[in-house]
Amino acid sequence: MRRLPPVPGEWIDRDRPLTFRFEGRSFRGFAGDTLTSALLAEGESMLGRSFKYHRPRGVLSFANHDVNAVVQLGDQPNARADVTPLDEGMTLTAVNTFGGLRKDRASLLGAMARFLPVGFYYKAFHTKALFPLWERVFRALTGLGKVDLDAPRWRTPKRYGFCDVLVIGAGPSGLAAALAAAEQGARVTLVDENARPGGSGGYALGADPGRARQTAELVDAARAHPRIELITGAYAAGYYADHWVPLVTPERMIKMRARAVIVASGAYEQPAVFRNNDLPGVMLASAAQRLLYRHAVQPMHRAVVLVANADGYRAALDLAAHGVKIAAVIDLRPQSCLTDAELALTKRGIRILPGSCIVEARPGDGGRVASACVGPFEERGNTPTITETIDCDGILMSVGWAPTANLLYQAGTRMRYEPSLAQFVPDVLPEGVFACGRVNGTYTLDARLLDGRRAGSAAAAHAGFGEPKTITVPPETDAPNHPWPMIPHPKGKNFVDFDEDLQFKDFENAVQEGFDNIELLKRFSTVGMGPSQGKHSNMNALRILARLTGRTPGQVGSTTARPMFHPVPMAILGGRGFHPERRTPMHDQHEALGAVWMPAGDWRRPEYYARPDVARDECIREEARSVREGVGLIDVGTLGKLEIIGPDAAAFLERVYTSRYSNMKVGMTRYALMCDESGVVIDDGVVARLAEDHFYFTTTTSGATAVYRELSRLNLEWRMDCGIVNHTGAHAAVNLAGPRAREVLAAITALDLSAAAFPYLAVREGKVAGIPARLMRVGFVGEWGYEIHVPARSGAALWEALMKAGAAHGIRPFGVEAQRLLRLEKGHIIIGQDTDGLTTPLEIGMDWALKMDKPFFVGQRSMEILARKPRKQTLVGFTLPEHGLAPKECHLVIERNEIAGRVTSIAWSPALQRHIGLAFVDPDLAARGHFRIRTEHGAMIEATVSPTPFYDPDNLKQKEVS
Amino acid sequence: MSVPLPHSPAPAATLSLTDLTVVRQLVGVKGPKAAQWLANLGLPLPETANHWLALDDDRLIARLGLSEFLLDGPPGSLDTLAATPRTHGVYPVLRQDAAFLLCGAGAPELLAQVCSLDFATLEVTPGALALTSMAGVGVTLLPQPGDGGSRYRLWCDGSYGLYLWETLREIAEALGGDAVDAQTCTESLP
Repeated sequence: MRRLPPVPGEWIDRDRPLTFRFEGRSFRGFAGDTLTSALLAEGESMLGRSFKYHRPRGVLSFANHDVNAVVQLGDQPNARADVTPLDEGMTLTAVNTFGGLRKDRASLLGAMARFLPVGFYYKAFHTKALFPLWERVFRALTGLGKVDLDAPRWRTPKRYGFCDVLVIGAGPSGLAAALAAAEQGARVTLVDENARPGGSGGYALGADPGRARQTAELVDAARAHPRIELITGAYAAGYYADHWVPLVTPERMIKMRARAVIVASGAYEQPAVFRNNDLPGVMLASAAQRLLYRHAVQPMHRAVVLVANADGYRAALDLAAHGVKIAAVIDLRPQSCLTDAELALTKRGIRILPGSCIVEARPGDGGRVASACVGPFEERGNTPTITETIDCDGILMSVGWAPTANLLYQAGTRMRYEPSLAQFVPDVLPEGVFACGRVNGTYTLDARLLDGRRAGSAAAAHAGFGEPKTITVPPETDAPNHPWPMIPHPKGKNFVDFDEDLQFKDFENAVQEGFDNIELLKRFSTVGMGPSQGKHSNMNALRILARLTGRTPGQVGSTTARPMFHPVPMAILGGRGFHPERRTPMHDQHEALGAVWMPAGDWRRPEYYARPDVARDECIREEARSVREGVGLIDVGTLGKLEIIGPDAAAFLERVYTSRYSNMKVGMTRYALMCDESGVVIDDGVVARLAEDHFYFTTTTSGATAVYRELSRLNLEWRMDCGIVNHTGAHAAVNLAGPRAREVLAAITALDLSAAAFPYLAVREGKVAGIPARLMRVGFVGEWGYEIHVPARSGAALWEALMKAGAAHGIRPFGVEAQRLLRLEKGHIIIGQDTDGLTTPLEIGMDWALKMDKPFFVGQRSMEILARKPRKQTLVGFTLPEHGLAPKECHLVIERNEIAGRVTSIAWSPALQRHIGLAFVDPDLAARGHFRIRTEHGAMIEATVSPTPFYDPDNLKQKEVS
Repeated sequence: MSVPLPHSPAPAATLSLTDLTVVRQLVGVKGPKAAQWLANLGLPLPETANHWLALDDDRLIARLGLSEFLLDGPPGSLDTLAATPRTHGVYPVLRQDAAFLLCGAGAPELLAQVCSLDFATLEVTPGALALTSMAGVGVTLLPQPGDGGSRYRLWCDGSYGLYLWETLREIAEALGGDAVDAQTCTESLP
C-alpha cells in the first residue's frame, strides 16, 4: 500500500498535509483523506477487530457499509473511519479491543469459536443466580466505542427544506434524473452521502477516462443549473409519509419535504463467502477503486481478483492501470462474456480462470492476506479442491450487488426478485416515488443515464412540471450479480456477516434449529443486526436460507428496512431543542425579589421567594403568615382567562359548566366546575358576569389551552349566538389577599371597596393605579382578597403600584407553595392534584355544584348514572397528631394490608399547628373517622378525618365584621 | 451542559431582528359580523382569510380567518377603533402580542430552522400571511415585499415573547445576524 502520484480527479489536497495519531502512533495524511485512506496510504492495513472473535480486520467496503474500521475519536464513539474526514491533530483508537489493536487479548475468543456458535447465549445462561455475573461479563465484552457521559450536548441547527423533486444519490443516474427534472421546471434537491457528487461514475472506470469525463460533465451541468440544489456529505436517513425525508449532514438534520422522490441510491457491493474472506487485504473491488481514484492510494501490490460480473473486470483494469500486479482474475462463471474489459485484460497478459473460485485466503505474518487458494467452483455446495495457491497481498471481490433499496422499502415499494439479474428490483412503486440506476436493476452506464432521465421526467411531471417523457431503457444483457457466491469450507471462518462474525455454518445451524423464516433467522443469528444493518450480509443470508429451505430468494423475501439508513448521532437527532416558555409580565419583579422558580406547564411561576439564611419551608410559612396576618400579593397571571360574548353566552356556560349562570346578576362571580362526557372533573375556575351578554371566566393554568379549544369546538358544533375569546396571555392578574388587602387597594383606586358596594364574590371594573382593571372579590386563600386583572403590558406597573401601596402594611409577595398551604387550610381543592383522570364531582364533595335540574350540561347524563352507584372513594380532610412523622403527597392509605386510598395534599398548617391534608379514602374509612397512611420508610401514621375548611369554617374572614 | 456544535458555518447574509412590541399598537376583533363592523368603519378588508392589506403607510389589517382580524399601527393610531363599542356578533380581542420584524437575506434560513412552513410558496401569493408554529409557539407571520430583501413581521402571544425573541436572536447571531433596536430600524412599516 502506498500513496500514488497525483491521480486525475483525486479528492486529496497534497498542499495540506495533516498529522494524526492512531493507536498511539503518528501518521500523516492530506486534507481530503478519510481516516481509512490516510492509514492505508501509510501502510496500515489492520484497522480494527471484529465484534465477536476479535479477528484482525482491514478495509472491506470503504463506504461506511461495514464496521471493520470503527474508531473512538475523542468523546465521539464509533466514528466510521471509512468516511470520517481527516483533520489535523486527531487522536484515534480502535474500538472493541482489550490491550490495543495489535495485542488484543480478546482475540483468544477466536480459538473458542466452536464453543460460541450462533445463539449460544440462548442455551447457556439459565441459572438465575449467575445472571449478574454474566451480565457484567457480557457488558464488558460487548459494545464498541465508549460513551462519555460527561460529553456536552451539541445543539445542532435542524432546518426544514422543501423541493419539488428530491433525488437521492448523485451518481450517473441521479445526476441524469436531477437534470431531467430541473429541465422540466421542477425545483430539485440532489443529495449524496459522499463528499463529492459523481458516485461510481468517478471511480468504476475500467481505466477509461472517458467514463469519468462523462460523469464530470453531468456534475458540472447539475452545479450550474439554477433549479438544482446539490447537497453533498449528507445521507437520506429514512423515508416518512408524504415524501418527508430527513437529510443528515455532519452538522445538522434537514427535514426535507418533496413533492416527488427519486431513489437513485445505487447498490452495495456484496462480498463473496470463502474461508478467511475477512483478512486484512481482502476487500470489495469498489473499495479499491475508490481508494485509487479518490485518495490516490494503491491498496495492494499484487492482487487476485475474484469476479462474477463486468464490474470486476473493470476493477482489475483500474488496478493494473495504477501499478498493481494482477496475479489472476478468478471468475465464478463457467464462461467468459467477452466484454471489452475482459479483452483488455487478456491483452495485458493477465490470467483469467473461469469457473473457478477462491477456496480460502491465507494470512501471512502480521495477519494480512498472503495467498489465495484457488479451485474449481461448484454451485452444488461442496468444498472445492485446491488446485493452485497464488501469492498476493490483496484480494478483490466483485461478485455482485444488493440494491440500496432501504428507502424504497420504507416508502412501501413492492419489490420482486428478478432471476435474470439475481437481484430484487422495484415492482410497484408508491405514488410520487421513483427509482433509477442500479437500485432499479440498471447497470451499464448508458442504461443508467437513460433510466435517470426517465425517472427525472416522470417525477417532475408528478410534481406538476411538464409531461413524462417516454424513454425506453434497454434490459441488462450481462447479469451483474452471481446468485450463489458461496464457497463452503469445513473449517469455517467464511463470513457472511462481518459485523457479527457470522459464518456460513451458523446459518445452517440456525435453519436446523427451526429458524427457517427470514425474520426468525435474523433474530436468532443476529444477521443484519449489527451497526451496518445487513448492508453487506442480508442478500447472502437470504440466498443461503432460500437454498437450505428449497425456496427462491423471492419466496424468502427480505427483512423489514427501518430508518435510519446509517446510525444518526444523538446530537443530530436531538438537534436544537425548543422548549417554549411563558413568562408573566411581572417576571422581572419576581426575579428581583428572589423568586425560586417552578414550572407550571409552559409557565414559570415563583414557588416561593428566597430570603437570606432562611430555609425554604420557613420562607413559605412566612409568606403564608403574611397573608393571614397582613397582606400578600401573588401573581396569578397564569390562570386561563377567557371571555364569552353574545346573547347565548349564559346558555353556553350552562352547557359546559355544571352550575347555573343564567340567574347570575351582572357584577357577580360564581365558582365553575367542568366535567367531560364521562362525568370526570377536568377543570374549574370562576365565572364573572360583566354584562347580560358578556362573561369573563378563568380556568386552571394547565387547562387554559385545552378548555379554550374544547369550548371553541363545542361552539362550532352547537352554533350558539356567542363567541369565545382567549385572553390568557393578554391579561396579567394578581391576587391581593389578607386582612389589610382592602386598605392597600384603596390607596390606588377610586372604586368603592366597602362590603356593601363590593361584596364577596362580586366583580367590578375600574382603574387601579390608573390602569383599566377587572377586580373580583375572591377567597381562594381564605382571606379578604381581590383578584385584579389588567392588560398584560400594564402588569408590571400594577405589581409595582400594589407593592408600593402595601409597603406601609408589610406587604409580601407569596408564591405557589404558600398559596397551596393557604388554600389547603381553607379546604379548597386543586384540579389535577386533588383529582385525577377518573375523579367525579361526587367523590370530592362537589355535589352542590351540580345543577342536575338543568336541561343539559356536559357530563350530566354520566353523573345521573354515577349517582346511582356506590362511591369507590371519597376525598376527605384529615389531621395528624401535633408531633411525629408526616407522610407525603401520594403516600398510600392502607387498610388490612390493602391499598385503601392515597394522600393528595398535605402541609404543616401554621393556623392549626399540625399537619393537615386531603386524601382519597374508602368511604367506609371516611365514615369510621380515622385511617392509616404508610410512609416511604414503611412507618404507619394514624390520621383523623376532619371536616373542611380547616380554617375559618364559617367564612367570617369574608365578612365586614371580621 | 449544552453547547453549540463547533464548525457550524455562519452564512454571510444580512439578517436583523427587531422587537417592535412597544412601538406598535394592535387591535383585534372577531365574530361573525366583525367584517361588516370594520367595513362600516370605512376600513378596507382582505377578501380572503390569511391575507393582509396596507391601510396606509404605517398601518395594516390582517385577516386571520374568515371572521377574525388583526390591525397593526403606531401607538395611538388605532385608538378610535379600539374605543368603538362592539355590536352584536362582534367580539373585541385584546391583543398584547409580542411583535418582531425580521429583515435581510438571511431571514429565510432563520425561518427554515424554526418553522416547517415553505415560505417560498407563501411569498408567491401577494398579500398572503400564515398562522403557523415557530419554535413551538403559535405565530402570525406576514411576509412583506421590499427592496431590501426578505422582510417578515411576526406576532405571538406576549407571554411567549421573551422565549421566542431569545430563540430567534440566538439563531440569528449564529447566522451572522444581530438584534437591531426598534428606534434604529429605519425600515418603513408596514
